[in-house]
Amino acid sequence: MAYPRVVLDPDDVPNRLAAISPQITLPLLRQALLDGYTAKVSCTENDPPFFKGTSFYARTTRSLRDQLVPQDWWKNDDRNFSRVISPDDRIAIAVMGGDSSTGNWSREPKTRSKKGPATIDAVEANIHQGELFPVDEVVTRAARAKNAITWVLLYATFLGQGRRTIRAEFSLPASMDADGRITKWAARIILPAIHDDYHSGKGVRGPEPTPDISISVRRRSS
Amino acid sequence: MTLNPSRLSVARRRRGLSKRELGELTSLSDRSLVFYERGERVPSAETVNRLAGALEFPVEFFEKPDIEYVSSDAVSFRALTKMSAAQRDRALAGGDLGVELSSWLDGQFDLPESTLPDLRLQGDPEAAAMALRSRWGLGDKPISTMVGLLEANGVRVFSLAEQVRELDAFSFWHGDQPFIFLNSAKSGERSRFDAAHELGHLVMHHHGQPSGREAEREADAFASSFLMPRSSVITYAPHIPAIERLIEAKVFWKVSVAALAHRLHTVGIVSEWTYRNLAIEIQQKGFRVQEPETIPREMSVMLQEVFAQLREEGKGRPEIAQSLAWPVAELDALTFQLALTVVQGSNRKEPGPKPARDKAAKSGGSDHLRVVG
Repeated sequence: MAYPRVVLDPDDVPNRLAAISPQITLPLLRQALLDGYTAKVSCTENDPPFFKGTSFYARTTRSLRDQLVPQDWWKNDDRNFSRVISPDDRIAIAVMGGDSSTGNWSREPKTRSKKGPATIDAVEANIHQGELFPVDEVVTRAARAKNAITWVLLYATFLGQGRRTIRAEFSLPASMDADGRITKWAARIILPAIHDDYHSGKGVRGPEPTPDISISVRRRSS
Repeated sequence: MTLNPSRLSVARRRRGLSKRELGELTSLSDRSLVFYERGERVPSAETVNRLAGALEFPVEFFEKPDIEYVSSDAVSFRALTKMSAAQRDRALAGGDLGVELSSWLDGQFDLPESTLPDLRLQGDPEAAAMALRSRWGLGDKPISTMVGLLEANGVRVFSLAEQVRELDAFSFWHGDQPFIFLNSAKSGERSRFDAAHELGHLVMHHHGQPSGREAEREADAFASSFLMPRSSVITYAPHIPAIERLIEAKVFWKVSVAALAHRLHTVGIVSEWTYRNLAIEIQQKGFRVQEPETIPREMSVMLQEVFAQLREEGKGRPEIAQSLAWPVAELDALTFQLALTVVQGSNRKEPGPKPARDKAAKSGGSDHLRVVG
């Protein structure tokens, strides 16, 4: 199926996702991102600062799994690389924070943090898909998971024009730099942005209520 | 002295007593009580005194003309199945007294007449809620006071100080007069929702069959739409449904966090998935039992005016109760404890202190008009 390397037309996104797996849908990915973002905004000033980002990542991962495990996907945390893997062990999804180019079709994003050996192996497996032995010959699921094609739900939040925006893409890592960041992508599916216009805190603007009611009652002359 | 059988029945049920229990309290046989309530026998003056004492109603109460029973068929109870017969009878007898109080008030004052339309044919509850908002000129604004709005539109709203979790509220039409009774033991948010729920029954199920799950669902949907109009929620509610934001935003509509979460789902702001997670979180945090950032309970606006005017004439709680031949505690229970707290002059804005926990706690002897024992 000939899709361009970068898909950004919202009309094409669902089909492109379905071509990877019919169970990967835009509502599912959007829900996972919303759950992650909601966890992040639920953090308070008293949470350690790193925790906001961590909770976004953690809750998005959990939400993906919560949604996919009932559809026979399974979780794999081999060497602390958290993924959810398709029932046929061919597709894996990991969640990663991206840099400011995330969701921008004209630039190539990088992952924010350095990745460990398990991620490096996964990217290797992506690159050498065609060269590996047939998946069916690998007997254990764990071993097959190592050879799965790993897609990344890459997300970043932006502040601008008085609102926060979550940009995200569903992308296939192709190579990493010496720092251990993923820098090149074999395919990128740009997801519609999610906007958050709500301004929390004192002075939250609400709708004007109906005026107070007064009822005049007249004494009956009797 | 003649005992009016209908009044014996109302007083007994109001106290949540069976005939057998009343018999035990008064050393009368339940057979005799059956006869008295049917009007087939006339009790002696001494017996009437004994009954009045046990029931904590003045003797005069039993001598007044017939009191009309509110038929349980005409009443919409939300959780009828969960209530015991005694609890239901107690609440219904409160309804009977409410009707009596209402007609007494009508004799004293010109009060707003009902403007409630018949919205049976509106299609769905949201359409009915919007039709009513439009008729009352409310636009899509949050309702500042539900009780006041109902009263201004001719609904008589009374309180039931029932410590019964299962009883939220009930409503009925008595002739052309709509009534709503709210359990004042519920939170302010819950009480507003209950009031809107009962309004839904009154306009959608007028003289129809008010029971049944479908009717309850319709009344809930009506209340939700009436209190939180779609356009207003879409504009002002947080689209990222963090629970902290919901708690912050629920004050716009003066609803519970659970009610707002549900409304966000029905207007399509949050998915089924998110709503389920929110509902679990609300449950886990105990918000269904203890509403966070709760608002004060609403009070009757109309009765404040009435009591203030009567007060100016030198008529306080004992005098009003005396006119009705009620114990003062019964008047307090039905009127949001307002008579207790009305200050001099009318147009009082601030609600008074919280209602007493039960009638025993607040019916200090001197408040009783006359308890014959």
